[in-house]
Amino acid sequence: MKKLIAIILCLCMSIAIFAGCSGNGDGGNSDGKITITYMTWASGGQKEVEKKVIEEFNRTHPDIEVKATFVPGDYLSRMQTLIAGHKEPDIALMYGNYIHDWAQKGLLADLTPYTQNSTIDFDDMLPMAKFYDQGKLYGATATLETILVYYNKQIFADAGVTEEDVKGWTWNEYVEILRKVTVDKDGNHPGDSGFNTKKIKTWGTFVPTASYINEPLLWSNGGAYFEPDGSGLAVDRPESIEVLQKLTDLTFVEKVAPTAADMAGMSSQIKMLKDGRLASFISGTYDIAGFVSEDWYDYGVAELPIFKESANQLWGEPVVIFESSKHKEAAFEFLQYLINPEFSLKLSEEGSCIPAFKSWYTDADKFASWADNKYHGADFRKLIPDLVTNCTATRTIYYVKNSDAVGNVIWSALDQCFLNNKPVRDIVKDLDQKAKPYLQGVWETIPWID
Amino acid sequence: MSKTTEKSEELSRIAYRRRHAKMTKGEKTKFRWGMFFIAPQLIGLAIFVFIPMIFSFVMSFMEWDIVSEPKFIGWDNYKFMMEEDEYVPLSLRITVMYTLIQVPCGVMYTLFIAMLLNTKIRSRSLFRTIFYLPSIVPAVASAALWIIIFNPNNGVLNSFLEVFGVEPQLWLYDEKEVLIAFLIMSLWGSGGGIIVNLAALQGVPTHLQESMELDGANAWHRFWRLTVPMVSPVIFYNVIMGIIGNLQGFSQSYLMTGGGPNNSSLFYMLHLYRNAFQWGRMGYACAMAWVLFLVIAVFTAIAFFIGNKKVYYEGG
Repeated sequence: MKKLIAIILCLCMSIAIFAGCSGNGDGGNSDGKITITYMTWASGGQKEVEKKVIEEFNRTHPDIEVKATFVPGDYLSRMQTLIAGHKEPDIALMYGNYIHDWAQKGLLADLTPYTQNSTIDFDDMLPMAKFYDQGKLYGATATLETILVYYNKQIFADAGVTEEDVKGWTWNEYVEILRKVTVDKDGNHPGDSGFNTKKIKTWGTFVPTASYINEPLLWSNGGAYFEPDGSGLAVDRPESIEVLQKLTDLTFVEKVAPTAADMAGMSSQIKMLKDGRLASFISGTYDIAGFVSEDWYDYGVAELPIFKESANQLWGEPVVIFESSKHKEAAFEFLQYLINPEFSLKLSEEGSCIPAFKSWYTDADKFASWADNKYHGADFRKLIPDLVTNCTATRTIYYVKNSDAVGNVIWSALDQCFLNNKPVRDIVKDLDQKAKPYLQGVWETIPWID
Repeated sequence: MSKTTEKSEELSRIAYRRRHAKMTKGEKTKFRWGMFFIAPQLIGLAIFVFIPMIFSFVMSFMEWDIVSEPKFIGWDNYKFMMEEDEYVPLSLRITVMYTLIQVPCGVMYTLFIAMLLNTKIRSRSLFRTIFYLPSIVPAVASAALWIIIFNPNNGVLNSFLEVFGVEPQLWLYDEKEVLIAFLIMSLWGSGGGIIVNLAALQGVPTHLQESMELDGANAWHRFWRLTVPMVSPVIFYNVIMGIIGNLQGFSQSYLMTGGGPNNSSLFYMLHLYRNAFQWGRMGYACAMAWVLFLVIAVFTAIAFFIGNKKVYYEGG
């Protein structure tokens, strides 16, 4: 009898092991409905909007059902695991720097044939919103971002800074203003004898150490991270070194920005700007949504400070359809829904992004429908149309092969400058050598870098 | 036949049976049931341990980015590791250095705490619980907690040290202090080792303690000549587990510093993880894993070699 119980227990345990190995069903087709799977990293407000879009789509398309998976964590590993197990979704968001690689490996579906009869006007789309490989379209996005300087209007006004001053400002003018607004608890500014960085009341700015934020500053001076033809790194150009050194100097020489260690205890830059503990910061247009959540709009926006020429970056991560999908038409139906500007209108309205279609900047009514509300200031409306229509650049990592590995070499080395004030010149000296094992060139020449 | 030859034949028959003994029917049945019961464990071992090991070994000779077919490239991964990748020797050096610091500190700390917990104080069980609890806190929660504690601005640790007049330290933001920070964190979580040491301490015979006292041995003498040898099997166990565990250290640097600042906390496994899952070089990562296996094997062999000479096992 004991043996019988033991055997049954063993069998139960063995079955329990294999319970976790069950595969999912094949994409539907029960009751004639096509089921397509959609994977996305959207969270928070964007997740709510996407959920609504999916509901709307499912309602208006009774023969198609979209099942969405929202992935909060490590998206790339999840995606790679699914692909390895041949269980990738039909349609998904994906990081733009993988598009060339995956398109050439045959993982992604060529969308060009579907664009002929699409409800989306692909010609109206800004070039940065479309992802091509060797002339074929593989991905598109409806949500773009660009970079702005956000500043606390009150603090700048108190320091005598007018809107004219921030228009077309040079880097030196920008630093001058930062020195004026950085003040410690005793009222001293940087350069005054009693100035104490341990007792700061208001910092001028946070140093933009993220490469996707500070790269346009390098371009503005004629520098870059990568040589446009893929021959190596451009971070050792004197122009690049100059910009990176000036960024490092914001903390250690000009003393208008806190050290990384100082920042460890601080709240978000948006909250600090609102509380007047930070006078300005440089970030993407997505932070407008952050101000919307704080319900505080007393800030101004300005373009990036200029070194030699004005420069900015326009980018967004694409939605792609996988080649392995058995329902590519249905997936494209859904893609049209997703990148329809009417859908992204809600996101643009509330500041999570800016639209991907030219006419939404040039046509007065369309522009007003997303930008004319309390979330976007008048200075934003004055600044953004020209900024976007004149912008020719997107993220360089979309062009660079093996960008994650090469980037890691550069940006972990630059840590030493931003954190420990090591001279940029010394750090970048041997970076070309360090990056050589990982450099594999570019997918195509980066067009906006000389 | 005479009696002696009969006896010697009998003896040679017994000897023959001993050498060629077949199992009796009862024994065979028992054996079969035994195999049946451990079958799930063996199958699990095969599927989840041995087959992946073989797979990873084969992959180490391939180039594979997970999303496409693997490509055979022979020894290239190993060559790249030895000749070109400077992060491999760097991360190996950091990981080995951390292990060589953490293991002795961990052994001494856990033994010390276990001895304290072995004394006859009133709320002994309470203290034992307090020291054991941290070891069951999940890694991510523990990392989030210690990031707050190590905060250079007004973190718990700096505030505490300020009382003693010690300047606020940068901890996770300082290249030289980040490994010390990991060490502190690991000692906090070493409850498992403390309990094991405690169990061993309770096996130290008190009558020997008393007789040593009578003979005039002082506390240190008693400790070094009696306690440590009696506990040495457990110390040996902690050393081996510590070496194996710390050489594979990953979560602290992944969750708290990302290998920084300036790669000063770049553990070997973190570099391996990046190659495998972020840079599309799974084959290379497999090669790195096998090299780590060799390194761990060498260290463990050295530890066993020293251990076999020094460890005292009562009762053989």
